[in-house]
Amino acid sequence: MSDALLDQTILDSLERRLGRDRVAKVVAAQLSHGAELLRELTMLEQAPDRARIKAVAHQMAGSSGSIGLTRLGQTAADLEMLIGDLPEDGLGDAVGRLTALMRTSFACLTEFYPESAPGA
Amino acid sequence: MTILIVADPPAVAALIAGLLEAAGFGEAIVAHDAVAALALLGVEPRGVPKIAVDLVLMDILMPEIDGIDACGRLKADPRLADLPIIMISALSNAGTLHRAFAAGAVDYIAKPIQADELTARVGSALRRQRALDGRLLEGAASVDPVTGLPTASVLTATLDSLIGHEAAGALVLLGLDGWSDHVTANGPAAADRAARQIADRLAALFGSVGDLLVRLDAGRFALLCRPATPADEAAEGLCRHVTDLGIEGADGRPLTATAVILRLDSLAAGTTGGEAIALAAEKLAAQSGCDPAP
Repeated sequence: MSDALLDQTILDSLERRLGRDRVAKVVAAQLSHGAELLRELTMLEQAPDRARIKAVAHQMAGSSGSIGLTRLGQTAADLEMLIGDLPEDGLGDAVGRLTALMRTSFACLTEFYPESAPGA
Repeated sequence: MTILIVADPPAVAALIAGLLEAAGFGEAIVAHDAVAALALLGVEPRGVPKIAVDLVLMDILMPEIDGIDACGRLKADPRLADLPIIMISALSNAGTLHRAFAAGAVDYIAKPIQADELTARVGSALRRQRALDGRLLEGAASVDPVTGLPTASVLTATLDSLIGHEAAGALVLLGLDGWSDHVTANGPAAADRAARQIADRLAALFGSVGDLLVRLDAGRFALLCRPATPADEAAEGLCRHVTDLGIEGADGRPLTATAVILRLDSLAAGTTGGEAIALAAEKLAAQSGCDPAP
């Protein structure tokens, strides 16, 4: 499961260039920012707002793929692109799926970088 | 070398900064939105730039002001018109790219960030800019490449045309105290940044009212005051503003400056511009102990 969520070759490549400590800081920034976005998505799941969902998906799409969370990056990019075409009653489900994938992806990332977990 | 990264997701900004620094591009400064970037560069609100940068990497989708709009605002500022700006975004449709290039961007990097593409495109943009700067300077030895100020040759020519014709103008020569020690201690890149900071501050305060501000050489600036400009106040102001910048000198204390005034109507008829500068330099050397030779 971890392999499918996380492209470890990307993280290995980054570590060779930057060293583990610096990559861990990038991961920490992603997890911290991701936690903020998760809080916002939790509210959006209850009261969907197309523009805000699109903005959050854009932020996830832009940052996730760069640090190896390729499935999350692609899913967020797809949601950003398709949000305008989704029916109103499908928005909550779409947000729920993105939220679940973010939680799983961040948990996976934290396995590799426990020092980057918020509060670690 | 300093690169400004304007990117919204903090992880992306931190990643780009790390990759550029690791690749040897010098210092990477991060601004998390366009509003902060415009303020840092002294564009909005209009003022003295807080940083001098060689290249900007700008995210397109950002809150309040988007990256393309910010690019246009930077390019509209004459001080930054030549600054290379590379856009970053997951948006890669033709319309977005067209707007970015129309706003003045020189290149485009797609997210997710690929390290090799990032460093190659940044390196390429910097090389192009250096080549352009070099070509411009070949035909314009009158512009100091570091600060963008006129050079000693412009001052000499202007003085040649003024001496004997204008009654009460004055030349204020400003020497940065301990400048050669500053360069030795901090290196040429830091010295160039400091020189730009000083030039930008002095140009904003003294260069826009008809007086001529020039960079005479590495550690000396000169202000050719019109008759209406009180030279003693200008000299005091030049020194005070250098100190106020808080640039750390070689001894760890803020860099200071010394100024001397040479009144043009005190010069003998037939004195050349070069001779006038040399006279002022001797006065400055006597007062501050710095080298009188330009």
